[in-house]
Amino acid sequence: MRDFKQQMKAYGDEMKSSRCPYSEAELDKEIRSVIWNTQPQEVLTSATKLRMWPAAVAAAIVVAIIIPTAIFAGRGNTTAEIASVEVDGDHVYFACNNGCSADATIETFKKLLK
Amino acid sequence: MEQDERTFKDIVHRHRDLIWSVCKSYRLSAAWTTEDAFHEVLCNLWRGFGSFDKRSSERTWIFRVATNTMISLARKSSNRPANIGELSIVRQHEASCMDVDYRDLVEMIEATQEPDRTIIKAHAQGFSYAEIAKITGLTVAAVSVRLSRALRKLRKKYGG
Repeated sequence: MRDFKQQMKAYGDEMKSSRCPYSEAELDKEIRSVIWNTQPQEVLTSATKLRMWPAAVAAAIVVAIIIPTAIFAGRGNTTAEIASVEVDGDHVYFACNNGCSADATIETFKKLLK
Repeated sequence: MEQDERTFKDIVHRHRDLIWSVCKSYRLSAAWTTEDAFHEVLCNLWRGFGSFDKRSSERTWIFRVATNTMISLARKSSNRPANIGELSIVRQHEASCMDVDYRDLVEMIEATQEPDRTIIKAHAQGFSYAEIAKITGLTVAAVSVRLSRALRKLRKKYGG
């Protein structure tokens, strides 16, 4: 006769005693990668639109409109500033000096390209 | 780093073992490793983080998102699921006990239909009926009835 109760207990113990094998540093890296790769999805459509413009026009939009507006948007939420905005492939990278409001910049960016 | 990102990072650090445990308890195709599944769960947690209203506990929210992610991945993998022996929850246990009865039980739990499988797993993780109700969207009474029925069926099938 098999001991169902004991095996269920073993199953529960196994579940509860599971240990994530990542070190603190590895987990931080994984989280950064998730945040970095998930956030730009918001601006994917806008970035694709931007890439449809001639490169010189797109660059001019970034320098003349997006960076100043993004800095403004960043200041509205925190005291941070955006150092640069870079379009690479289908992603737009916002580099911040000391952390800015990504949501605010993304929203501004989307509005600008609508 | 923004406040949200810092909070998210702290939550993940606090519940990393729970996330890992949910990831390794599902049977996926050989193309998916537990690390891949873990990454996918983190992506979904981050996507849903903004709408986490704290009406349920962090632990309950994490288990729900992780479980839903794994159910979805398991469905996608269903055309070529891994052998039950490839599940790390089985491998780990076998390394310590070499118990074939345990392997059978895991196989039976994996074969259980949703939402009973989630209820059994949440119960095994030590969640209360009220927490399982929040995870599954069922009432506490329904959780209680379903759990006792699922365990009875499992016991009968298992032969214990």
